[in-house]
Amino acid sequence: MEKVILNHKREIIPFTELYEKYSMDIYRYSLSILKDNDDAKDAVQETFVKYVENEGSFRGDASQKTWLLVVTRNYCYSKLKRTEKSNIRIDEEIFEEAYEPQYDSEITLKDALICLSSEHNELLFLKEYDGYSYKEIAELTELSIENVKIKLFRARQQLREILKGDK
Amino acid sequence: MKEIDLQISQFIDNELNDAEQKKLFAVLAEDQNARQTLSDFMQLKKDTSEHYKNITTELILPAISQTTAEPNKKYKMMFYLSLAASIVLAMLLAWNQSGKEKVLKQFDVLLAKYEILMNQYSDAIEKKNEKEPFPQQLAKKSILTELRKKPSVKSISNFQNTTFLSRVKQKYETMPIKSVVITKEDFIGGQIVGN
Repeated sequence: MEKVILNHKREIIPFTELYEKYSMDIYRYSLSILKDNDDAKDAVQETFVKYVENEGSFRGDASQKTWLLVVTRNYCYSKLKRTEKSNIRIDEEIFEEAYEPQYDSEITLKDALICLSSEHNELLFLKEYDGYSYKEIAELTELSIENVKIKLFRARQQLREILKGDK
Repeated sequence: MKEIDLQISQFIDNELNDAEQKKLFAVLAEDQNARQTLSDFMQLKKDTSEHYKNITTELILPAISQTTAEPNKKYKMMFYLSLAASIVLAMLLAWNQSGKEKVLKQFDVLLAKYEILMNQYSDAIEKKNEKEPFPQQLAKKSILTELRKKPSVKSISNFQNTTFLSRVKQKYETMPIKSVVITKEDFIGGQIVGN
């Protein structure tokens, strides 16, 4: 028997329909924060499992996608926190030797985005891919509108500098 | 941070009002660097958007059963079931305790009776023992040793079928010797009286 869920209009829809509609967006959003393919895939799985488990607490005033993005965001940042804790003992010298940058290779946009912080990457994704307004981004990320405005500008500036080879 | 660059960033995000846009256009008309920033930011916006759109991968549908939708109900039911089970267990334990107490009381009564009998027995032995011939005393001495090692009293057989047999045995093994003080000679005399 196929799993069914309620959408934001309180209509019964099959779970697969919801998954097909939003899974790729969730994956891309997770990737912008986690910057790792496997971790982003895990995030998609976790998000949908959590969504189904907490379907009862889903508030109708937010869109289904926003709700999914909030769940994804919470998962991704807790994952990052755990990873940071586990990597805290890595010796910085060893790290620098092992990952020496190749200066002669051309920096692509993908490389430049990886160089950005998870927060900057996330904000760029929400703005450029999803087309959210500053207000919507502020609500989702729990930042002030002013903060979103400045951080997005800094992300762009940093990205431009990396691509130009200034950084 | 240049104020004009920040405004350009806001402009490409469509977050400036008409008045702010007019001011920005006036600056852009005269400032070459500002025009360059606008051009760069617009190109970045386009490229970033395309980059994200082009990201694709194989995703696996998570295995979600129908029951996972109602975890609260499931956990609540499990809680009530375990609560009921614990109440039943507590009742069984209380009932078992009262049964055990009954058996132990019976055992204490039997032990008291045994002590009285042993006292009477030892009194009788004392009287008879004065006349006991020496070789017979030696013969009974070995029997006494065996008896002390493993006392076989009739009353203990009453508890053969109970679940507290091991406890009864343990208690019983210590009781006769401690509570009834009988010498070897007394006991041999008792055997003669019994015979």
